[in-house]
Amino acid sequence: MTRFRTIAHATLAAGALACSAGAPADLTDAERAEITAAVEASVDGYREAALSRNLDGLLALWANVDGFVLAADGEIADYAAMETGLRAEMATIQSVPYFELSDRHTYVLARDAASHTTRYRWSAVLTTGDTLRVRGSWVYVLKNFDGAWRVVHSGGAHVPE
Amino acid sequence: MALVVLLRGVNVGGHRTFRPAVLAAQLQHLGAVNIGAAGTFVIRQPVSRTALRAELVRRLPFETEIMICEGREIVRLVSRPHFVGQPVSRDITRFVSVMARRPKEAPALPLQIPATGPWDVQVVAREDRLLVGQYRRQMKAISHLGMLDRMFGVPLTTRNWNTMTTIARVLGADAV
Repeated sequence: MTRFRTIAHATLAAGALACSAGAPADLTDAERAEITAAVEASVDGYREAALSRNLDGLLALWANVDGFVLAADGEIADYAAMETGLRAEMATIQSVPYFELSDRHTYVLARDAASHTTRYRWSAVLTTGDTLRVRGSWVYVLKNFDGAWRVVHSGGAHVPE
Repeated sequence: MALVVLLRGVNVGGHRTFRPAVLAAQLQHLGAVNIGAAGTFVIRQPVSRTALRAELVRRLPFETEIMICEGREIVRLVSRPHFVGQPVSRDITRFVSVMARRPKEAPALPLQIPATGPWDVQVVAREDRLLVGQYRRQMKAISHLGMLDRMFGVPLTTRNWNTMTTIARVLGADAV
């Protein structure tokens, strides 16, 4: 049953993409490059916001829309849970010494949709003075909302460094 | 009566940029002493909480939650053997979280996060608005410490146990 559901979801998703305006085949290389650059710039904005502990900047990456999910370390959160958690977490962090992205891959799904996968490593100094370090990989699915690329689905894992 | 100020969610080089030492200098007339970099101050001169809060709001370049405790609360807290029988390890940090106000409802103690299995964060004691606990030094501590806000239903800010003992030392027994 689970296998059937997975296949059915994949078929529906493929159908939705095929019907979407600006499906990959319709895009020129230049358009793909432009979308890729915009998506990476959006994720870079998140990195910059983390480094400066700018909560508004961090929230700007996430789309407050129905269907938003963030999956990490075995848990799935909706937008409200993500925002509440992020606000509380930032209050425990005193500074972010580094936040690095590498091995980045953008896959353009449509004129207004793309996925972005990256490795990351970052460090946080807590209000207790402890410095914690972590690395991992993360996948973002982004949609373009009036020119702003925001994440609607996201998932990843944290590995102690 | 000495007071202790703890600011929530400030940092030393980011969006909410401020320099604790500069603020302490601005509050010199109150005998302010800066403790560390997270926004922790001992106020040694007599001042009402209301007046102190108003002055902090006026001087801080951003809005933030301001927790104010009596110095004797901290001195009393660190004088008690909250961690008897608890493991001592380089991978475990002992902390105190200060709540912005008394919670209407609070979970029973001791509590641990996650609720089952090995703990990542453990709260072992509470004295009024002060929570005493320990966490394993790993990245999950950030999200788990953040969960304490929701579990107690009030904003709180967390400091190292050593910061509290430093505060007590600055205050001295006769200062409170």
